[in-house]
Amino acid sequence: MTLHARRFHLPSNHDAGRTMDSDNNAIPQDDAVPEAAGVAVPMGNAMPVVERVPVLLEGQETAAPAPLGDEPSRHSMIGHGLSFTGSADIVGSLTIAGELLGDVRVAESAVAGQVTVTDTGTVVGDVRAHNISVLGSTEGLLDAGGGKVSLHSSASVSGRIRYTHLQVNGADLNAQLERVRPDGERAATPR
Amino acid sequence: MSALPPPASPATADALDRSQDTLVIDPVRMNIVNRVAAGTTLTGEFNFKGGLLLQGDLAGCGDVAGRVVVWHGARLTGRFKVLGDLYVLGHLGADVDGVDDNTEVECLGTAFVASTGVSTGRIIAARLRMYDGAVLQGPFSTTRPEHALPVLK
Repeated sequence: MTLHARRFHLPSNHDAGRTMDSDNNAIPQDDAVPEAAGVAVPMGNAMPVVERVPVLLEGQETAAPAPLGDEPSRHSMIGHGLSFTGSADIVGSLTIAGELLGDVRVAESAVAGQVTVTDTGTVVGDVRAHNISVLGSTEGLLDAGGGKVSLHSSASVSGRIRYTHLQVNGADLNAQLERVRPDGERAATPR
Repeated sequence: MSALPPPASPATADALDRSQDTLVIDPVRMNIVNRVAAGTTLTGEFNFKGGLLLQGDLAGCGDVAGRVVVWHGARLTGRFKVLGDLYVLGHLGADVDGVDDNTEVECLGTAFVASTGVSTGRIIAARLRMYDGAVLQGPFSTTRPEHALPVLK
């Protein structure tokens, strides 16, 4: 006796006319191409590859964001091996490859208000910036209200996250998440 | 099935934005043997022997021995334990401005929250994959590897 699994037919975003058909007892064509039986559902924008995340590494000065016009480069870096305790007010962008105990704040007016914690970086404290990327470890508040937080697979994040856009790719995450609605979004809508 | 969404078939992928990740949902290969159809509301205590495709509303508590797909427009509320991966394309938790304290989903696999997904409940999962545009409002915890149980495939 051969048992045949029953195949559901899923509605596709690209084929709204198709419907589920649970009453159809037809034996599925098991030798058909497997993918042909499934429905491809768009999940969302893929995370950028880690190599393209803007970090400033030793000997890779060009990895820093390019200065605009005659503007001097405003990219700061806490290098691997450096331990910093205190608070930092940043103009421009910041890469943290070392250890930071304290709070970081990137000026809201900064065009390149980006904080990147590399895979060797550790932050214990609050980080406030328009864009925050984490590949390392953070403990505390990540505040990107109105901006974006990206947590990569190597990230370990605990504490609280305020965000408008959030992407997570398998990070070790133990946090309270709070979404900040962008300007103009209706308060009554859940998203 | 791998932890990441498998690539779409070429013919389908052409119709999709190439910058997007896609998930191919094949109920047979994913062992999804239960379905709550769109427009259906179930309330109570559940014990699903296999994966679940949720297109309607499911409220209450229980276990799902397999994967759970919360489809576009569907809603899952209450306390559930998922022994496989969780795919959220619809809603997890009630429509509230803050956090829905009555919804908690523990997922032994990876929780995927698509760009259309909205969660106001608490999620506990081994891993989280969340796409830009998704809304998570509330606590999220990853389970420690030493406490992890085998994940149903």
